[in-house]
Amino acid sequence: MQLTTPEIREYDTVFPSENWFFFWRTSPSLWESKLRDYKGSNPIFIPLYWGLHNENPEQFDFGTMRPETDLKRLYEVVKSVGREISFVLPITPAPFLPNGGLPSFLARNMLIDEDGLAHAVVDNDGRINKLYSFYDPRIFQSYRKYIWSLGQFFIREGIDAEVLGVDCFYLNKKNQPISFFHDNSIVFQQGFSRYLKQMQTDRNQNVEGSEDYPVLSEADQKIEYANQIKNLYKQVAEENLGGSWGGVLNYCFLGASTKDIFSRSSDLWEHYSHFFQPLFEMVVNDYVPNSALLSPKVKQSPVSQALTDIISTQFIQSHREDELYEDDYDMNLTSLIFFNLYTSVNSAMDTGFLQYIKRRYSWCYRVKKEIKFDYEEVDQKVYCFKLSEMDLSGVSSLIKYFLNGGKILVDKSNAKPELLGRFSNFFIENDIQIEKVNYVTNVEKAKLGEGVIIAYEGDKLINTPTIKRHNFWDTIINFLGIHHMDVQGDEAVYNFWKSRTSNAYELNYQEIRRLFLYNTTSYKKKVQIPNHKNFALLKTVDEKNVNMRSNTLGVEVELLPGGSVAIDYGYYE
Amino acid sequence: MRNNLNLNCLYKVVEKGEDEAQYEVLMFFSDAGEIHTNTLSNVYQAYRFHNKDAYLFKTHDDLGQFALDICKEVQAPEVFILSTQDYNIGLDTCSDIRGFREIFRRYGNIIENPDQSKKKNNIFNKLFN
Repeated sequence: MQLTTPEIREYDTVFPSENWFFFWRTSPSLWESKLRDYKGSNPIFIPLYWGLHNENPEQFDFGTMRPETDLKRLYEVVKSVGREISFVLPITPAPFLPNGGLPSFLARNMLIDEDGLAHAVVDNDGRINKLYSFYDPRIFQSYRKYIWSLGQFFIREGIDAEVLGVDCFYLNKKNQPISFFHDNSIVFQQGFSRYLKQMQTDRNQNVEGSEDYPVLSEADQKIEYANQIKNLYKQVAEENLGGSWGGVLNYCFLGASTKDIFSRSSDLWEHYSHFFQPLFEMVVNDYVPNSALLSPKVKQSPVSQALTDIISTQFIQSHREDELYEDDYDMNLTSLIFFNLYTSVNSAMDTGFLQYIKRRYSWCYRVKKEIKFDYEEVDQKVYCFKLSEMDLSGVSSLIKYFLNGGKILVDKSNAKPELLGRFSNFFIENDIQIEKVNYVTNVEKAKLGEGVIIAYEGDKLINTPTIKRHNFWDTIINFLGIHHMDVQGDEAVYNFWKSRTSNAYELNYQEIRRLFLYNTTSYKKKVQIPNHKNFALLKTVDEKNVNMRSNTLGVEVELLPGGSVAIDYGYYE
Repeated sequence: MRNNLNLNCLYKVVEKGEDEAQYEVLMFFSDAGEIHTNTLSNVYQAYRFHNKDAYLFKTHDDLGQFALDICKEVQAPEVFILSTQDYNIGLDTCSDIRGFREIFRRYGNIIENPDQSKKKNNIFNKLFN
């Protein structure tokens, strides 16, 4: 047991999270030795810290005046130690940088949340990073100059490293990811007023295209305005960094909400267990979690193990904009996903579907923002939709995926007649037999080769008792042929699954699934994993403070405080 | 919860028309964590005038009295009450955790728990505290 606050080692300071190198926190003369000693995987992510290179309004320093700003040398050092390099460019306020990355002469209007609280976070050194609104036109003008100078510098010096844009997010109290572009400050309000005025002027003057401006609620107009401004920042980076531009990654920062600052500034309050739920919520919401802000005390806990287990190079690659296949199957372990949800979280909650899959399949699902199908390589995941939240092209994609052998689950309730018509006509036109069942709600099933579509009326499930709803989903999911092990234990023991294809020595199995267990409490906890006819226990890996017993019924795992373990199962049909 | 820790209450002013305002508690906490929802709900029953899932008050005095009631309930010595506007001003001036911890004390209104003050005046407490 540790009774004192651990001292921050320089290692924690310069490598605060998953391969991120905060080069400005150490002397340039030590860059090489730090990078040589670093054991993490490739690539090394180098954040670009605007404020460091732009101390004076009209001057950009990339190494001409101060050695600590020398990106060319840094690039060469990384290459010389045999590492791959990716520069990381924030396109939003960045919580891991002082002033959110802004030069101090631009740090004027703090970012304000919906409760009126200014946004600040505690970094891993105990410093307060205040975040400032990106809606100030002066900031955009300066950002343009900075990015232009950066792009010119990269060309002039022949730096051919990739630059990844980073869209920074945090989780709000409902565990929803919110962009650091979300703002309620006075500069946002002023910009929004100008935007509304411009829209009105365009309409009055019949500017071409203005008749197509959608009629939105004020809240939606604010979202639209915020997205437009964010896109401006993104476009500037994209245009000026040309061939180096590697697209945008959505990073979600642990401990970065406006209210996290209260718990994270108190040793008595902050506990590593607070970060498990947010970590997994970030993963299922399809964001890359980042632990750059977490204190060394938290980093010396099972959170660190969970981060290592989850965030692999493949995991990050799968979140890139240009990556069509998420978590491509190969010999590396990748997240096990059974369900892709294209419905809003609220509607999935209303029908009890989300609660069901959370309980039965823990974190083996993803909430997706846009429909992206790979028609060539249809996978075994179930794609879940709500017709009323889709448009005609979405319905066409869904049907095409079904024809290619995909598994689809559709909630038809409250859909527009034209969407319902398109959906129903498809089956009639193609003479596909539909099996209709009235079980809790109206259910329609259709099969074509490997493809399966199950359509149901979700609104009838809303007021159905929980047990009945649970049985309903059990029946539906069984029909879809998903086999998975049941993990029975305390909610404070988090579990996470990964899988990989079997190798030459494991040909009895179709795939290998690895179960990760983490006890986040200060108590001893037990977990039961009953035997399953499609699974064979293979081995345990990385046991920490764990006792395991196997009997005829299954496996019993006893996890001591902070204990964790990984268990491999072979899956066969 | 440890009962020797000071409490902090952060609230926002909710504008209701031109001359009217209500006060909503956003956070109620000590260094050990947030005050348990059950405690807040139980004490709030005496002030409740709406059906919303929020701790709203018609006047600043009601908010102060509520904060004191919580203080008594958890036997805390004092509570610092701070509005979001003052919190934002305080936040602007601090650069590390130490400075941040001082915001409520420096910018907030203090309400002392008289029960705990009496205890403090006790001769043994004077000797041992």
